[in-house]
Amino acid sequence: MSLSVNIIKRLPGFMLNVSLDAEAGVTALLGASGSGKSMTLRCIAGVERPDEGSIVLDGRVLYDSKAKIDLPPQARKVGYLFQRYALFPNMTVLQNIDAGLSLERDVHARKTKRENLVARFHLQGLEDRLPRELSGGQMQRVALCRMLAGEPEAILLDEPFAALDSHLRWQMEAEVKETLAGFSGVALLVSHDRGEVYRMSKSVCVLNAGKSEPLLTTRELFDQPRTLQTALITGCKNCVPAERLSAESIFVPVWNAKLACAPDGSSGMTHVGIRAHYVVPCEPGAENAIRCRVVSASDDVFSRVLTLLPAGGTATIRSEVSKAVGDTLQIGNDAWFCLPKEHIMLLRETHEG
Amino acid sequence: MQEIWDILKTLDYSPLWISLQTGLVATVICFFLGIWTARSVMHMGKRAKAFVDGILTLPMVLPPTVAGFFLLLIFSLRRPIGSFLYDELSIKVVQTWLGCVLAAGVISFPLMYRNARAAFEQVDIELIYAGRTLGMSERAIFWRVVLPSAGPGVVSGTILTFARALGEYGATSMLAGNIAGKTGTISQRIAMVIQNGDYLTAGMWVAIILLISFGIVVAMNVFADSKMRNIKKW
Amino acid sequence: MKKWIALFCAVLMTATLGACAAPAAPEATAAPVATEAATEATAATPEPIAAPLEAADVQLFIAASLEGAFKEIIPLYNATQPNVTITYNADSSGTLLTQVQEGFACDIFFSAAVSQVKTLEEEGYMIAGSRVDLLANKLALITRKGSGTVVTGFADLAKAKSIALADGSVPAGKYTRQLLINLGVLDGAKEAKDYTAADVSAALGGVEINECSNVSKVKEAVKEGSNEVGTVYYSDAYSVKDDVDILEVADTALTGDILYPVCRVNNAEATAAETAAADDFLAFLQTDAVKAIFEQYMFIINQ
Repeated sequence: MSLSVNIIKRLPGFMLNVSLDAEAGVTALLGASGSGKSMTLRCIAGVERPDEGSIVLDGRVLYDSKAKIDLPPQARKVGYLFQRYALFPNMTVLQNIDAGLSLERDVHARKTKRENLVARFHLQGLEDRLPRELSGGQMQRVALCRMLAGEPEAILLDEPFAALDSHLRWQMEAEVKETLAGFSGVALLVSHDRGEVYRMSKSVCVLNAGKSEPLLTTRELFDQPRTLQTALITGCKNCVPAERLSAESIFVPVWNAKLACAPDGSSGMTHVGIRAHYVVPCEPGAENAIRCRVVSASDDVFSRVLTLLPAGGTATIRSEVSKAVGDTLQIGNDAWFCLPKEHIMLLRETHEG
Repeated sequence: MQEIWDILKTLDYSPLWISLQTGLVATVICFFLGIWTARSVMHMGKRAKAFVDGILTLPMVLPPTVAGFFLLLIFSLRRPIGSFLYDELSIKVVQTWLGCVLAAGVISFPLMYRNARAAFEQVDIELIYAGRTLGMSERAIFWRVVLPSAGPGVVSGTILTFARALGEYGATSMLAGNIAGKTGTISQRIAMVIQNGDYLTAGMWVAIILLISFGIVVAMNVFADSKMRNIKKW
Repeated sequence: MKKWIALFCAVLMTATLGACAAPAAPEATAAPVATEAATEATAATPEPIAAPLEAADVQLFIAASLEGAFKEIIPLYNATQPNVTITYNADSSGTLLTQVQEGFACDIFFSAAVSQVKTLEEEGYMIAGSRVDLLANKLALITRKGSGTVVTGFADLAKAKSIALADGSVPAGKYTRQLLINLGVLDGAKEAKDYTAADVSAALGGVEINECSNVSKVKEAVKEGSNEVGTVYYSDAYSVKDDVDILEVADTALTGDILYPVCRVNNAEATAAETAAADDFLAFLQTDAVKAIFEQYMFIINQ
């Protein structure tokens, strides 16, 4: 089970250039808004056409510009879950699911499948409702059910949780995850939310202004993003230019700090990053300790976010600590904070040609 | 009062049947033709689209009598197309009820076409994408997703088309003539009777045509409302 | 959705079937073929045939103003000729002319002005020699009943408080101006139709003139009392005879002849029976009984 995508499409403002080989399981497409994620999905589904390239699913060629192959969406067996679900407003839930069974000719088999699907997605009692009479979560279940009715070989999910209330998201994530676990094909999940990506997928492809980065596992992505843009997309708030002094040390001008880092033989480092919650108060003599002044503090739901200005530095460091710890520090205080060596990420800024 | 009753009893009701038949048939034809055309034009390139659109809207821009004159030039038995139709296919448009339908249809076609097109262009494209990825044929998508979604526009086009076809006068008069019992529509009757000064009879006919149009338009609205349950009111 | 389409199609089929039903032409039940001589006798006024003719459908084109009269004339004809169906097309003379030129099937053409029949003759549509200047009309000066006007006729038109007048391009307006030229009120320097309402007003000493785009509007204006007097055709006064008085009917010497000619038209589609019936009907139109009907509608028989 694999999906191989190599496409180029010229769009106003940028060029979409995606190279992706996804295996069975959930692969995330992560990128900022407007980076071409949805367009990529649409090209894979066949509702939009790339300018050149190829798309191959399990050895079946869906699109090949050189061989002039372009299968219509109806023939691709690729399911698509739209961000706003695209349930047909004039049809009941049952009719919507039935639309997903379009390719099943045998009336009897159709009925059986339909009933199974309704049971599997817990839609009993909702069969005769119209989409506008459903809650967000129910709509998503219907959309999922409808999509899987046709037994697709690959499924594409376009920001599936974006339209949900946050308290519902958790539950829907669990449901979707369970559904995906029962799906043996390739699933591509598009998102701009790093949390979703982290929780739902095992590998990630980052899209940076249209250009796809090589596939990483989720763990790799968050621990070692390698590029500045990827680090930013994954939510790293402290990314600043840095200079390498030696294999194990770097200097960050804007923080006026010399830091030890894990041995890294690669060259081309231009920036350094560290996640806010790794920046913690420490003893003055600790490794990578920096003296900072607390410039501001604000409360998040379960943590306190501190903005720190290193002594002699020009840029701030963002630190996220528990409320208890935060209570010990006042604005205007000076304190020592540590940037642990193992969590310092060495980053390269990629330039788009 | 007695006068009115006397007139109603002795009135020749042929214009009523001719107008009704003409109106309904022309509307049905325009309904399918307008939808098909709207769909086709949507797929055209920009310049072709603008050009074709201009031509299709032309009957509305021209005074109906002028439009009727053009139709006459096309279908006249003395002209190439008209004589071909008559000699080879035994189809006579001028001086016949077919001419009534054609005139009414041509004049009201732009109403159906424009409304249908506007309605189609408003349909949420994700619905169409969804239909495709689910394996629905293009025809199924059109009839079961697009058309219901475009419902209000299509219904409005149909109502306007019927109203216009029912009341058509200038083009009908030129192309089909005002032949009593054959092509004499209510509108032509009213015009003639007013010219001859019989306002009472004219008034009767006006009342009749108002009742019919009102009744049918109301019926169409009721039907539309019952079908389109997903329309939100704002 | 499909149900309603089916319903539409059912309506379509019903309507088409209904419309295809041709108007029932009474079948000739062993009708004796006309043995009388053809109507084109050498006598000046041919007589209609007495014996019933074969079934035929005569295409009659008439000016709209004649429709009322024909609704009585046709049943009268059918009383003696039950097998002949007269199908009439009533419209403005100009439209009728265009239709004949474009090949409409027509047997008899009866217009409200001479120019159309002349064109038919010039272009070869008319059957030679068949023109009969059957009806005439005259210009009439009318006023609302009880208007208390001091005007007694065309001669003292200048005394009117206001006049409703058709514009120069409309025949009635043209005839009125011609009359004024012949009376010496207008100087005759230009053609009748070129005189504007302002010209006429000035010539009449500044009387208020309401220029109307057609004769019906003149008639209305006088009937409603918006204008004190107005000039219309004598036959137009028929429809408002309960509301207006005719002050004077103009002599044709002053306006020129206003004629309503009728003629036979070449009809390539006509069968022999149809041609015979058409000739017969034309003869019938010239009988006294028909003339009486025309006079009832205030048309003047042309002598």
